[in-house]
Amino acid sequence: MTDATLIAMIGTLAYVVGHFLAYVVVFREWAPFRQERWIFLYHFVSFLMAILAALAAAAVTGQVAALVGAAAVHGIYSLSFLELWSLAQGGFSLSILDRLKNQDAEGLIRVLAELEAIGARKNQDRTSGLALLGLIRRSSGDRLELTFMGHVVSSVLAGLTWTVHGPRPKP
Amino acid sequence: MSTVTIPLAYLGTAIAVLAVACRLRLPGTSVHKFVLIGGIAGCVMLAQLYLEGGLGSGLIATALCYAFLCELYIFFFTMVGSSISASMLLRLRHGALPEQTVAERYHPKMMVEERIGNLIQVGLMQRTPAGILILTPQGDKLNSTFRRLQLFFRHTDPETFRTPARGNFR
Repeated sequence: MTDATLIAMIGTLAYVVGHFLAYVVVFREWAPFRQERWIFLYHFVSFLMAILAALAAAAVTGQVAALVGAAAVHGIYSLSFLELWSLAQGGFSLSILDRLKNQDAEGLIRVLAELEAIGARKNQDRTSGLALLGLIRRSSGDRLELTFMGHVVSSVLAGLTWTVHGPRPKP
Repeated sequence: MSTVTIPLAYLGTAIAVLAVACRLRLPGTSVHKFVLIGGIAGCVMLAQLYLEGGLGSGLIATALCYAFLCELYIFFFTMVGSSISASMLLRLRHGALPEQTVAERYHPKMMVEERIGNLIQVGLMQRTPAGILILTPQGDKLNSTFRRLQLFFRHTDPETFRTPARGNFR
């Protein structure tokens, strides 16, 4: 019985290594895989498949640990991958570091203007993105307000903030 | 079910201790504090499981579950701390705001200044007496690492070595 848990974890580990190699060898050269939607789906679908396989193993053996171990292995891999992918793609602070490197006074002014342009574009994407996700909406008089779902998400975020910053959100 | 409940209980304890540690104004970032506190809690959990049932696959599964939950927690709380979207949602929690007010609060110039301030605060950049911003050795190292990652993930065209700046998960 215990072996089923170990087999599930080793099997998932081998599977995620294959998943990663498939990305390195094939998918990273494909243009769609440079978009967050596709890279997220690549991991999400894989995670679901691994969970279903582990669920089947857990149902046969009666070992919940097999399911938990498999989910944890894939979860650690996907979260680490997506975090690095996302930061490398367009982390604003990292863009600042990269662009401000070795700039003289003239270059600094030009780069700051470029960064502000990026910030402006991000602002535009952000408001429409939050609206598209159903978290905010425009009410009368061009005011922005949270939807019901927005309130739920915002409360969860406030809880997380409370654990590290206290009751007030970080400005 | 103990494979899930035990890591959750230890994570809850680690978060509670972190909340206290963050209010005591001890040195170090929240991430450093959580890594230390979460690491100690994880070691205690492993010791408890080992003493109760010895070394086995159940212990490994529980440890992996705890590691995943910790990573998920770090991901979320760092996201809340650095994401403008999260900051906007937290602000709107206190009531609707005119779009103009939101636009002014998150004006690109302010965002850039705030980020530069944060980068200086964490020691990745410094301002010379002449007012020029330069990368510290630590910042330079981080920048090089992420340049390599950009190439690896093909976010950067290897020929032109330019980065297409678009939205990200944060």
